[in-house]
Amino acid sequence: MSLQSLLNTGRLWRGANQRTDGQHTLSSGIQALDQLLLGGWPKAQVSELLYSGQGIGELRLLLPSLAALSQQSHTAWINPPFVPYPPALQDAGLALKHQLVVSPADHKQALWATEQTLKSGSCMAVIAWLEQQQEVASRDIRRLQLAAEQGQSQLWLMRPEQVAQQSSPSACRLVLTAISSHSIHVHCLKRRGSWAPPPISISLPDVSRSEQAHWFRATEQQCSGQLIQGPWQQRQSAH
Amino acid sequence: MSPTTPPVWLYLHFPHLQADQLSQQDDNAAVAVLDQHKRVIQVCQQAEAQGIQPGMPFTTALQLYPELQLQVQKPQYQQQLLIQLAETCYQYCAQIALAFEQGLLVEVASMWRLFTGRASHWQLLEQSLLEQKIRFHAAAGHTPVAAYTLAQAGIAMPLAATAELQQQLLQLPVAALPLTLRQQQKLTDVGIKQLGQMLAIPMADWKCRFNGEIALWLAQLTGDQPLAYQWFEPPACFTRHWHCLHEIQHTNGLLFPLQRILGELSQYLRQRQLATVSVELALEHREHPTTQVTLRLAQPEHLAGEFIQLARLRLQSLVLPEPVMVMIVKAAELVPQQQLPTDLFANTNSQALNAGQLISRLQSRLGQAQVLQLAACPDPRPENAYRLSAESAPEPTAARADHGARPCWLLPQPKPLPAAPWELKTAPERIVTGWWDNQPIQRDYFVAEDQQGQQCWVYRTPKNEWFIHGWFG
Repeated sequence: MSLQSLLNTGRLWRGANQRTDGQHTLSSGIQALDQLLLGGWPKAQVSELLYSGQGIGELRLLLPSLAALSQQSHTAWINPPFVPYPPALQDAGLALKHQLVVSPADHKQALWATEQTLKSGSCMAVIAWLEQQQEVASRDIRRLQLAAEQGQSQLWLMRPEQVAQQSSPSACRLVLTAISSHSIHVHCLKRRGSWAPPPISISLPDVSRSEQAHWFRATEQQCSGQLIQGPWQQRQSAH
Repeated sequence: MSPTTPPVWLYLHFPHLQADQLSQQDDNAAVAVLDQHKRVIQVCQQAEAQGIQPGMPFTTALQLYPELQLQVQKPQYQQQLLIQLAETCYQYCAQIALAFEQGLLVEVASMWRLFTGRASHWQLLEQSLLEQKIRFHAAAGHTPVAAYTLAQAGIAMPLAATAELQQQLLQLPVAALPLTLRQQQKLTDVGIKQLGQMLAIPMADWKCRFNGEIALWLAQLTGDQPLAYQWFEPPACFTRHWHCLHEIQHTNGLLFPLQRILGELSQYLRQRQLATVSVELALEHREHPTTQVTLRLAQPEHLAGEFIQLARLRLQSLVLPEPVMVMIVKAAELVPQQQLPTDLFANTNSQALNAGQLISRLQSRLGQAQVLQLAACPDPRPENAYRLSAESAPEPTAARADHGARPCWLLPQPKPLPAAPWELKTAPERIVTGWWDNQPIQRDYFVAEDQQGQQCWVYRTPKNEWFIHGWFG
């Protein structure tokens, strides 16, 4: 049997075949990330974002995709660690009437709710924090993967950084680390269609320099860059 | 039919109404219903097959078949069952009266033209009643009481002509007439054996000789005196009463009868082109106050499958304080059905739900407070600028406030800033507001960064206390 016939029947495929046609990917709205993921988030698949802490830009990485997906269908936030704040979501272009915040009582219910929302086909985007109480098993991720395919929905699984060493059936895994207010360090552990590339840093919209804040510019010199430190009772901090 | 057609009455008699209903809803158990003197008055088919007959003392019945279920006759329950049966008949009859205890009085002559003849009308009516699996027999009559008297006597003549009915009526023995034993005795004492003999005596003599009751009954029979009754009007909401033969201890046991009732609800709604936004279940216990369960839907529904799915999820999380004796299912909030536009080709997902169905499903399993929708509020205080509610809020019409940077994550409560070095990244945004409802705030908001590079939203109060209020996720 020749190599060509194997290739033709699809039993053998080339690792270098990069699918950038947009049929199997969903543009993330950030050019550097699209390049990293060979066209964008894998469509109707589970993507894992691994990070520790909060406020490192984990949502800013998703906001452009969420804004695009939320125009037509619902976005489900399952067990978010804090309240997704509507004024900020609105500024990012998300349709507020399509945001659903689900807070299940325990791990089992959270998995059930995630699967239901994915399967329903009416939530194109689901973002889930499932690791409050116990770790998500590999077979659960596989199940969510199937549900996402069935409902043609996108699941972003937000997980702690510690699970990076474990294997996972997700289509794409990114480890996020903060660098500064306007860039984030992204290490791709796994992506569809190619080997994992070396880590890169991606620039994000800077929160402190948003357009709405233009009138602060004049006084910016006075305050920004200043260091403050507690304990606050004893010391006069900000001059 | 011309409007001058004399009315023809049909009396549908259900001699074993309660026994038949209880038996068929409990897997064809053998059921007998007792009167106040503990004598059997109704038997279901299964009990009848064991040789149990009306009039037996209950001890005899139990001797014959020890597994027999005994129930006391409940007139109120029978009335509820009659209303259900009347709803079934209402498809074919416009005028139905609930004038008698164990049967329905139906006026049929006015319907013959619509259903192309007497025979085909009766066939349809009979078919729909047979599906209810409650034994019945029917007799026609030119007056309500004549039809009742014939049916009560056990004569099934739904299609007979008036002359034939009259003939049959005249031959009825006194013992078969719906009169009290005393009245029957009095009539026998004076040598009257058949109804025909009674009708031969002039009315004035009846009034003279016997008390007025027999005279009144005769006048109603002949049609000289109209019978007082009220027409049945189908209720505006769906209600079903379900009486258990055995007390039900687990919610799983409720699911089976509930499925059937919800199927009936779906049929009820389809016939009327209606949908409902909530289904209420009342579970009555022996001692404990009634348990109320509401299945609330995010959007109007009429399909049985959707109700059953929700009921299953809701009942899973329900703990019964005591076994259930009676279940009442009610759907009161009815709205016109709306068919959502669907795409013939696009949807290939067999389990696809629309957003409303998804929200209902999540809410019934997780609880209403766990599935919330976001909305923005035009309030300058950051903690009041959003709302989480179980129902979708209308899009605020107010223009977007022109404010500084806002974080994606808001802490439900501001927390004191931990004592670590923070670098302020922006100039302060001062918010002084809230004077109108006694929750005034005066805060300077900054974007700050900690040593791990995490961006947060902090504020300073006039007392120079620092709080963290959000994260720039």
